[in-house]
Amino acid sequence: MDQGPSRRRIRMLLIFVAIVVIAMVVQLIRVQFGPYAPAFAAIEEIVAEQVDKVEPTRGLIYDRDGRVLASNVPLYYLEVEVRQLTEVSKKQIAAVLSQILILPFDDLYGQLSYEWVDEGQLRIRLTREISGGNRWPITVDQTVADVLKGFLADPEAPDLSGMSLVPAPSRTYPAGSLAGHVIGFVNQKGKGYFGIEGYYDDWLVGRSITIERGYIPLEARLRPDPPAGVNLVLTIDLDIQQMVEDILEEAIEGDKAESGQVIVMDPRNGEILAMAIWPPLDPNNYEPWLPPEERLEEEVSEDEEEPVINPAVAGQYEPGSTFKVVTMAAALDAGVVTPDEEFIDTGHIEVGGHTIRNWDGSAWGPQTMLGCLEHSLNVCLAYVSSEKLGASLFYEYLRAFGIGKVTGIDLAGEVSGQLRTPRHPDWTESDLGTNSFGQGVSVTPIQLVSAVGAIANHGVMVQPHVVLEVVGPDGVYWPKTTVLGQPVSRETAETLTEMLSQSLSGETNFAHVVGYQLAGKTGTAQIPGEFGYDPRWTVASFVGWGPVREPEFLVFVRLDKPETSPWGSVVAAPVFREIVERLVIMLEIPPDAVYEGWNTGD
Amino acid sequence: MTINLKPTASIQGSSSQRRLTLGFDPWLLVLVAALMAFGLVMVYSASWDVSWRLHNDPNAIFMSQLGHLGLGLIVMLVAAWSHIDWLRRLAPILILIALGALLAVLLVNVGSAHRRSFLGGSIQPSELAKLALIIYLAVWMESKGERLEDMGYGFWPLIMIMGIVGGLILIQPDLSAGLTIGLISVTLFFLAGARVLQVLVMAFGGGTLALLVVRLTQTGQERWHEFIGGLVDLEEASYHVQQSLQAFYSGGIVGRGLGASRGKFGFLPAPHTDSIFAVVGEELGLLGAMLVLTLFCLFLWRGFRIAMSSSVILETLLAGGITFWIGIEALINMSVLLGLLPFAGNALPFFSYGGSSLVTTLAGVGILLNLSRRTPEKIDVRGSIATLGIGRRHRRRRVSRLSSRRRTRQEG
Repeated sequence: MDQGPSRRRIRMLLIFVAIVVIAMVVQLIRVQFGPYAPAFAAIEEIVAEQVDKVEPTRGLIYDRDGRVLASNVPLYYLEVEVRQLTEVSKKQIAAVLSQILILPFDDLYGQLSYEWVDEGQLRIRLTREISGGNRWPITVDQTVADVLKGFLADPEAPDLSGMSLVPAPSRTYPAGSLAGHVIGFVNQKGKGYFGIEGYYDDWLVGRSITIERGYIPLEARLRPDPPAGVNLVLTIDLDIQQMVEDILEEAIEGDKAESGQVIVMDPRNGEILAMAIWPPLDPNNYEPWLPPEERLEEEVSEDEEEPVINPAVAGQYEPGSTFKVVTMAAALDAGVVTPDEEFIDTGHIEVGGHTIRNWDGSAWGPQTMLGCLEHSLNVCLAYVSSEKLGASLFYEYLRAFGIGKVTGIDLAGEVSGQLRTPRHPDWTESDLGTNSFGQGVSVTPIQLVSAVGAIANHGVMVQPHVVLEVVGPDGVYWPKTTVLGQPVSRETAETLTEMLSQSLSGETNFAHVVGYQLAGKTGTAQIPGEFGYDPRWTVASFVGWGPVREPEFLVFVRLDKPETSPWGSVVAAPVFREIVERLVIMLEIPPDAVYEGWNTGD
Repeated sequence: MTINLKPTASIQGSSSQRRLTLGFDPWLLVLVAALMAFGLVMVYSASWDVSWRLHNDPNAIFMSQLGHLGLGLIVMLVAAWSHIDWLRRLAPILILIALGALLAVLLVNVGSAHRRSFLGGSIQPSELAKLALIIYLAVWMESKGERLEDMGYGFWPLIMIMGIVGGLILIQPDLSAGLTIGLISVTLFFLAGARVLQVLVMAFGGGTLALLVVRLTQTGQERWHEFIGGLVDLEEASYHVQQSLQAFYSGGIVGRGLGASRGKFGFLPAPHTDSIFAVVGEELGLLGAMLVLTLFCLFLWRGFRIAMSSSVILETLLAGGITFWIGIEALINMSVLLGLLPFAGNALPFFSYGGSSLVTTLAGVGILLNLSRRTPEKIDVRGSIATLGIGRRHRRRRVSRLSSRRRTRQEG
């Protein structure tokens, strides 16, 4: 029949089809059970193991009146779900981003085209190149993010499928450089550096949680909120801080000093009311302050001195005459001298083979202990420490005052200073003499503030601190005042305060504030260098407190390398006065006369 | 109108079954219904995410496919109840329309890289061209009869027709549709009784051409390279194939469950069109994939059976061509997704979302159903005088009009 050949040929076709179908069945089974099954299983596993780390929002930082010092702004990383990219979207993403962010197209396209899946990475964060061949994640602000989100939602817009915006940690400091050294900063990766941000990093960060990444709608579920970081209320009073910083800046400019620090503390409880540092640090532009190894851009000059962040806790210096307060407190408390005890100043004294002279090199003749402090006589203090106190007692007192130890203030980067005790192999007897007036011993400003604070607070030394309240998700915590010890008795402290008060009013004094009885001591320290003391530069400082009737504030002023005058009494004391004049108003401390009127009036 | 209007053959079956299936092949009806239903379910499952992304409505693509299905069913019914004879007159018009559409799509989309469709992808003339070519070639080959073996009458004109249609599609460029056209033409030529040598020459020539295209175009080269790599080492396969195989693997034996595919959410390219078989594999597993394969195998068997049972050469060619076309599209699509063929953009008939594909497929199915109605129920009775007689008588009438065809009246 004529259809014969056709039928045969159709049967041949059927056989051909059957072969193809058998091949397909074999392949279906091969995929499932063949030698490549483990490879597929591995990819399944990679997919299943993808987790997201959800970072909680970083805690905020407030001043003691609730003004925001540090908060968060929305910033986004650009992340790419590699397997969702298409050839079109790779090009479009690279094109759009290179246009908006002014980045090289080829670099972006290269990242998008890279075979990430081979490395087990299904999701990448787009980076940009920074100098030195390093790469850094691209971040976009809210404006750009809105544009990109619009593109993602609009089918007509460029095809960006595969890209997503992930909130990035980013910090903003509304007060700018105000109290910048106290606050510290947070880098792009969300790690806190220095100051409060560094010290309380763990608390502020909160706990990040990891969740399985649900990247398909079927796996969408409620994202649990990670436990947020705590908010911190600082003891810093922004008004006082601002006032102090203004005055410090003025003084720095007026005296052509290189740098300076001012600390205002309440000696009763150790609350730091203000801590001003020059040069200032703006946490919003923290880049130059990063440790060199963390820095993005290579700095131009390598031999440039590293700036010290918050030298009030991290910068040690030889305190000079302000240290005499501690020596005298020790001598008085040990009962080896009395305020009225006389000393014949011959202008020099030899301690351990080292001759010590006064600041002006002259002999001041007979002086009481009060006079010794008032005129800041090195010879007298060296005599007190070496002849009266003796090494063991002297250093015992220094240790009780916390010299050479960290105070434990809640700011990152505190250093301990340097105190060589007789046990130290490098200690020589001459140290006993020089240490008495603040040479050969290094302290940090906060250490001195803490030690002198003990005198102001009737002999009780409290730990300085910066955080007033910790506001966590579970409640509020007020750190208690930590008493570090009582290096001297109440009587000693009050006697010494009285002496320093007299010495202050006795001088035609730059530190005198009308209406208030204050106590304080100037200091002019030389700067030790590689080859002994540098003859040109000094550190001019002043530490004072008041009102003497019941001290409510302690102010420490330090100016480094002033050009107009090397003396603490000329450079630092007026800064103290200016600050206290305003401080008493801000703290609403009545003048002595008014105060006595209240107490005797009724 | 004409004699074959009321096919006597159909009266031979049991009358109750005839009434139920309106005279159509019950197997084919059930198969097509199953394929359509299955396909519709899978389109919904595979498309909602894409649909939501593209149209902000998870149902948009599904609803559109429902519309295509409605249109397709109408076309199918019309085709099923029309006279096959009309196709003889319709064939030149159809092929002209198809050629016009192919030309138009090139002209309308001048300047763009892909010139395959009208109205943003909704109408693809190449699908229409495939069906039109089958009908035209069937009519043409029948009219040529034995002279088909003659190079000048059969071989070269066929090359011409094939070259024009295929060429227009190739320059869209749509490699896979072009090659499919070639494959279908050669197969029809083969079924029409051409000399094996000529078929081999054509197949060889086509193969060389295909190789040339593959070698010369960048897409072709890439795909070939990926294919060869992937055949040996599945991990070397192209991204698309890897994703597809991953989907099959993660489906396991019984699948993740209907609707539970993960690949369709952006990892598997074109989940609702070209890759829908992989979605089936992931959601319904090895068993689901085998079910799809089985359905198409049954369809092929049924279609070829209809072709074999007809003694009219046109009917054999039409049924064989259409069955082969639908079957080969399906097999190519599935083979590609399994990494057995270089990448090709063939749709999976009944399953892949797409109006042109579904409507033309259903039109083809309509013709197939039409043919099934007029073929004897039992293939065993193929030698019966009545069947042959009717066929022959009917044929002779057409033949006299259409000129030169001569048939040997040998018993098969």
